[in-house]
Amino acid sequence: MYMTHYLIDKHEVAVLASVGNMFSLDYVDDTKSNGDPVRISVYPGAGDQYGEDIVGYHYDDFKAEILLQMADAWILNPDKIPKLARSGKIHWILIPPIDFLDPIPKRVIETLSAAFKVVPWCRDAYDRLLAHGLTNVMEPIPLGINTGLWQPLDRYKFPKTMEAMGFTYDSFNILMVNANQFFRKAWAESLEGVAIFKHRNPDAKIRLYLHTPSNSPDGWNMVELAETSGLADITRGLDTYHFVTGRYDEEELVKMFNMADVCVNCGLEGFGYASLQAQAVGVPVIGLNAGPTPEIVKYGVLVKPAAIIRTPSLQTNAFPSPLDIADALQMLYDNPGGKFAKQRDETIEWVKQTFSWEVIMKKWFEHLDRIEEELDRACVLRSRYPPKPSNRSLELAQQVKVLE
Amino acid sequence: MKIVWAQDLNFFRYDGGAERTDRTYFREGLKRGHDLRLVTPEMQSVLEKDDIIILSNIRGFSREQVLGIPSRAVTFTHDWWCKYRLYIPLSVKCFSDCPEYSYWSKVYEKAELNIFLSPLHYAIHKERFGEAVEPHFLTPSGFDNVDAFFDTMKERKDYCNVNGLLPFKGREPLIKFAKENPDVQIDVGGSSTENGRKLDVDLPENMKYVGPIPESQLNEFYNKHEFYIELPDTPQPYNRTVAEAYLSGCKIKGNALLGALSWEFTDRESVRKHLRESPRVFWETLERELKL
Repeated sequence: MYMTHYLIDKHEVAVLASVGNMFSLDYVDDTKSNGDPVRISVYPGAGDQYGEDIVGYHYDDFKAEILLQMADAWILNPDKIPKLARSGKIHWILIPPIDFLDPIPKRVIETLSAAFKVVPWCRDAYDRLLAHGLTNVMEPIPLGINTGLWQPLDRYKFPKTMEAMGFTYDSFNILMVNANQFFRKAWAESLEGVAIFKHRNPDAKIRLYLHTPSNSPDGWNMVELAETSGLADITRGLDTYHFVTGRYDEEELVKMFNMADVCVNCGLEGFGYASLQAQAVGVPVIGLNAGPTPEIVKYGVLVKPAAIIRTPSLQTNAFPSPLDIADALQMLYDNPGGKFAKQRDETIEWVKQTFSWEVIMKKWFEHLDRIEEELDRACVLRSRYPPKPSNRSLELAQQVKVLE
Repeated sequence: MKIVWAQDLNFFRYDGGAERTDRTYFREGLKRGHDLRLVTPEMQSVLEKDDIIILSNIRGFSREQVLGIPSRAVTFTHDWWCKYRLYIPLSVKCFSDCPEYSYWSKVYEKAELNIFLSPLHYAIHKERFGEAVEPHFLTPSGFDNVDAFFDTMKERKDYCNVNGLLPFKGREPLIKFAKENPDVQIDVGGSSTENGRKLDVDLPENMKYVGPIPESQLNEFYNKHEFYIELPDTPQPYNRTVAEAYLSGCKIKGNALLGALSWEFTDRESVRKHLRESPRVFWETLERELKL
């Protein structure tokens, strides 16, 4: 949404929203920075969840010159978008998370190699993709954040939000915001870490809020997980109906993050957006010292990977130790506003300087200029037909000849 | 020894200008008794070391196919050249890092003779590819109907063009000219589609699109008009319509990017003679240079 808003300033943009938008072309109205109104086409999905079966048709219909796609490489069908890209029918710019350790599975590398360009989200992924032999990788560009919105708030102005999350003004409020995935998000380890911390501090008033669906096909039953971890009495989850109907809007989330004392985000991330959100509002993060997290987390505590697990799909994941998470929670609990306070203000400023959309889009426009230049050199830009004549050609064109 | 003529399109089935050129020269070769065969990308041809292949418009052939040809080769490239229709070697990028450059350098280098349609066509290749295009030979577009174009001595007025909607034939400069000269009426004929896509263009009031013109009516169309105008902004190897219109009695308003006008167009009969004799001269040159 944010990228589209900025891109329309310099490019014609259409959106493919395949999830939740089937069989009808829709439009959204936006405004360029100069005030000009823009109507953006929102193309639908058809049968496939990710729109892989229809994106080529949309590409032609819109007369697109590049397809920007933010997606996991491993979920993509090699016979769909990568095949179109290899045949030259689309120019595919993939913006993938790399949320597993080395070695990156061969099929992921093969998929990525079909893209015209790959723009990773972090330096860690960039270095590793190069090390795996890819030659189409551009400098990484992180995800952006609306730093005009994501700011520290006076939590005392939002008692209803505090109450809705099960938090209180005098409790130690632990926030976890993640997809409900079994394998990637270290839910069990994180809750176990909170349980150990609770056990070590029997008199502490601890509260835990889980911003994730309470059930998911490839995830946990969060109520049962909290019960199993001995945390049912201090844990609250989101309102699932509120969540699936999109009512936790960005303003609401800013308030919710502001209610927390710490955000635990200890899975092996492709980026770890919740960590960025937390730091933007001045909340420290406990993250995993692997993947992109060391690049993203400046305010908080990194815990080391304690277990490395490889799946049948040959993705290698890292998990933290609950003991380390408990230690990190203890450190933050024991030092409220203490040695971390200076870090807090510096980090809020660092987030602004590094991740605000203005900064991020400047990088994107530089990338897109380079991509456009490269496509133009290869004579594949549809809008450039016929190609621009050289000055010399134009000079010759001015030499008019008249024959009687 | 056989001579294989490689062309993207079967010029006995397609009737574009480039195919007509090839067909005219091909027929003359047959008349002269050469064992001449056409090969398109879909067809197979077994070449032997002493055979000759004439590489006409060969974008549809794979690079490996072309560079791996075991026989002697001649180039006669004058239509589809790189990605773009006709001929855009004066585009900015063509002189920087065109990805086609290396391939075509090798093709011209490999050829024993490189044939171009006009002094302009040759000069641009020479500038771009240097010695790779030598030795060379010039011959105009092939006309098998040169006498179909003549001056009917009827009253003429206004301007005409028969390529007016095609972007690579100078559509935009023509529209610009029309806007700058609102008193001039320009009748534009020719195809309204390119590569199957409809060419939707907003024309100024003094430009009228009159639709495709059958070849049998071309001379009549030219004869209604005082001027034939064509103002491309990228080089055209020859541009047969200029010669047709000239032979039909039109005055020509063109520019230095029309290959046809880089030949000496001193008078209509000398142009007619040149075009009529070109197929013979073409084969005499090949026979002499390649010792056929």
